[in-house]
Amino acid sequence: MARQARFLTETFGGYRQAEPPPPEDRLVRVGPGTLGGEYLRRFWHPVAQSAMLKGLPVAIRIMGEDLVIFRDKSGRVGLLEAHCSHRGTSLEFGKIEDRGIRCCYHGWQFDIDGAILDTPAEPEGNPYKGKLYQGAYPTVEYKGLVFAYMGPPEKKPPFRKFDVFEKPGLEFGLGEPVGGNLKPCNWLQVMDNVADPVHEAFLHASISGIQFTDVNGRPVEELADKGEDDYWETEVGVLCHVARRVKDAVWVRSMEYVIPNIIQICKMPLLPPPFTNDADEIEMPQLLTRWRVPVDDENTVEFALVYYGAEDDRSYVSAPSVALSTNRGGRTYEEAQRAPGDYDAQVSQGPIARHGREHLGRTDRGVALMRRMVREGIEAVARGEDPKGLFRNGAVAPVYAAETVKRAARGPTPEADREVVRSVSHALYQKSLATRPRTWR
Amino acid sequence: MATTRFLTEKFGGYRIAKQPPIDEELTRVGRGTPAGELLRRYWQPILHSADLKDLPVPVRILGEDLVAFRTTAGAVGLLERHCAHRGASLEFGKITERGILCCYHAWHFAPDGRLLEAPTEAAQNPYTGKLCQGAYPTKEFAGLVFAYLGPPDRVPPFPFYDSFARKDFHFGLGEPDGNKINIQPTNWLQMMDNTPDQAHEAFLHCMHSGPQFLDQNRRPITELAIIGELDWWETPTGLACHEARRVGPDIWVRSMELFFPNCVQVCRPPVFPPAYPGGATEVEYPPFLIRWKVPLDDTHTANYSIIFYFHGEPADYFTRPTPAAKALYNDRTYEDMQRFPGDFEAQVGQGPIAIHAREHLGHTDRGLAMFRRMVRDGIEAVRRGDDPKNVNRGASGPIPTYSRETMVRLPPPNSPEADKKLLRDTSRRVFERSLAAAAR
Repeated sequence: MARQARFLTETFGGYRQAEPPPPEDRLVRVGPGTLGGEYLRRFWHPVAQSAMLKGLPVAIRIMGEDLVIFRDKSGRVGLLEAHCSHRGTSLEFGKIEDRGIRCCYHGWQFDIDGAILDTPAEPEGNPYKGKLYQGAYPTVEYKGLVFAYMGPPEKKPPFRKFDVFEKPGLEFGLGEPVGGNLKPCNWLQVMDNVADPVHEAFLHASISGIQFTDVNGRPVEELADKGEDDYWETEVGVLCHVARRVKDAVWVRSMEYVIPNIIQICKMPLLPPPFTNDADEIEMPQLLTRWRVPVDDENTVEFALVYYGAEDDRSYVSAPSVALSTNRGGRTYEEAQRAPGDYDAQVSQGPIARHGREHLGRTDRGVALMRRMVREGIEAVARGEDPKGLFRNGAVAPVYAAETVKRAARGPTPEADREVVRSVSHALYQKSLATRPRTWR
Repeated sequence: MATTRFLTEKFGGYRIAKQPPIDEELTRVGRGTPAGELLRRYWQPILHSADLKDLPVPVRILGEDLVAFRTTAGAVGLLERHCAHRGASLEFGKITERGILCCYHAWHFAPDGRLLEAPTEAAQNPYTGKLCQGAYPTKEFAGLVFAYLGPPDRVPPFPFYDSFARKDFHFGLGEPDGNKINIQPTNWLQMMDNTPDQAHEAFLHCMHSGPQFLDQNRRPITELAIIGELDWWETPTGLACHEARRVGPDIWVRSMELFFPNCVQVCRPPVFPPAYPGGATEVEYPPFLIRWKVPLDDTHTANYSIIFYFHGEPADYFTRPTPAAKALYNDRTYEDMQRFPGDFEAQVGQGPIAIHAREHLGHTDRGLAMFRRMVRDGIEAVRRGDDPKNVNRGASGPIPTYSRETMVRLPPPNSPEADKKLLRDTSRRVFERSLAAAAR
């Protein structure tokens, strides 16, 4: 672990503050051959949206690698190293063919698996055609996103599906405008945000005004209560609860860190909850699954799938909530200063957050748990093992997050009520454990 | 595990070495680097004469920050940018009749670097008349300002090529005054690689992006798409690069020349069908341009070109550019670059410094291998204390050049193999004639 800068115990002591120790390389470096990079490369990651693949190749950068992605004229997606293996010209200037792509410089043609199909400037019988391969990565298109696997070919896991993807009647939309949401900072500090649900009470409520609204458009003022936070390690990540007292009910905000770089969030309930006579518990549907994909050590791109029921309008991206619009860059500096959002809280930690100058507190237990899971995954890969969370044997991966409001009589004292609130939260966790993975009829 | 060798596995991106080292010896251009010292043995164009007006111009050449100016008396100065006194930039200085005054304390430097006055100092000070600001000699030719940045005892003669001596030409420039669209964010060597790689013309400049070359009547030269027979010969000045194509009953010998180390000569392409003068079976096309690719630093290189026009022809290279010329500059939209890539995209797309360790050179890259060898030999020569190739010390008269774009009426023999041999023999004959002419 990074060496901790000591607690400063002196007023006007700026001068005494030690330069923080450097970042913990294994956690934050993502390039090829780095410990963290090799760990992340064992998973499928979304690298583009299908809508980005039109008539021209697209230059992208993922985990420090410069790549070109395109859809060939037979409809197949290719993801190749950007630089042509002949003389290094970028294939972003290439021409898309029925099969694969052709370099602009000397017409070498590569299939989507990297095979050289044509070297028209070379004589027949040259040592390249049919033998040499351009570096390529396998891809899968799923619900409008293009996923790639960039790890060792012999370690490739099946494409991981979550139980919540399969719920009947759902449709999926994208969570970002075309191109994804770029954040100029390291991926890990973007992820820290989810294992830290308590920030919602501050950043998204008491500091910047209520940034979340319910399905009827009412600002969820109850968010400003910091509630009772709890964290549990699951087989996919960290389940994070913040339970709050709302009149005669308990609202359990339930979100999840999914290994290695995914967040799962549910819709917020109507408050106070509209219980009916035969139901004193309401479980909210999933809102989104969002991946935070490292572009390189100091840049991250977000791609999300948004869950729509039949009655939902499709306005998640086109009419963004305050919370979503403040998760994007491009606001004026004054707007960001007056009402900061996730983008500002995450990016302002610096290009790579320095853990050595942090002072973690009680509400950072989830962050500590998440970082420990990343370290354990890194160590597993370094030992030659599969990291946690791969789901190799055709198993569907469970998601535990299940935002719920439940009727619960108030305890006689504030302390007793806190126990009530926490026990509702714990019971919900136990119920999630017992009912995963979900199966749908 | 990771390899820069031949990848023999589909979906094998993971196996490729991602960051193999660059060739430091050939690509670094700063002072004291091997290629930097080689390049410093030659006159290099640094800006247009027309850009020296009433204000100094900051220039960056071979990794050095300099300032160029023309005194009110007309002399050109090229000085280290930072004043020898306290380092203020002379780009903010004031041009005088005898030199330039630093804005900060008015130290006054002559174009040769001498400190003429230091008005803040006592009359008797250790500087005036003794200290010199770093300065480089310059020469103006054909609208360009050239500089020599090498050891002062090694100043070579100015490279006056025979194409400059032709009486039927007037000269123009290949880029507009005053802006920087001629700068490519890439290393000099990969821009030079382009010339001994004449095979790229058929692909990049014709099949891929549509015919980017026009003849003098502005007809797109679709014949460029024919893949010809390639040959390269070392010459006293550098490397002659030929591609001989079969065009119906004629043979087109495309002939370009690399002037060592960072300059090229290109001829006018033919007009098809060729008009042979009065019963002749051969016609030759004159040189069209000489272009230097001047390193500004390791990852930026500028094109400076002298265009040859016949008397009476308008100097329209830049005002009515061919698609190939347009695609040489950095002012296009990204979509235009993607749809119609040219030399700029092919070269810049290799990255800031092309990594040779991940290349897979082929049959068409033989000339490029010869060129890189010549650069290594040049570096060795400088190390030994010798003049490198094409310094031409003691030359009497214009320096012969060897490019001879030619059309020859020679119908194809009956087999493709025999025709290939005829193409190569014809190409060689054209080159040998240029050798013989140089010997005269």
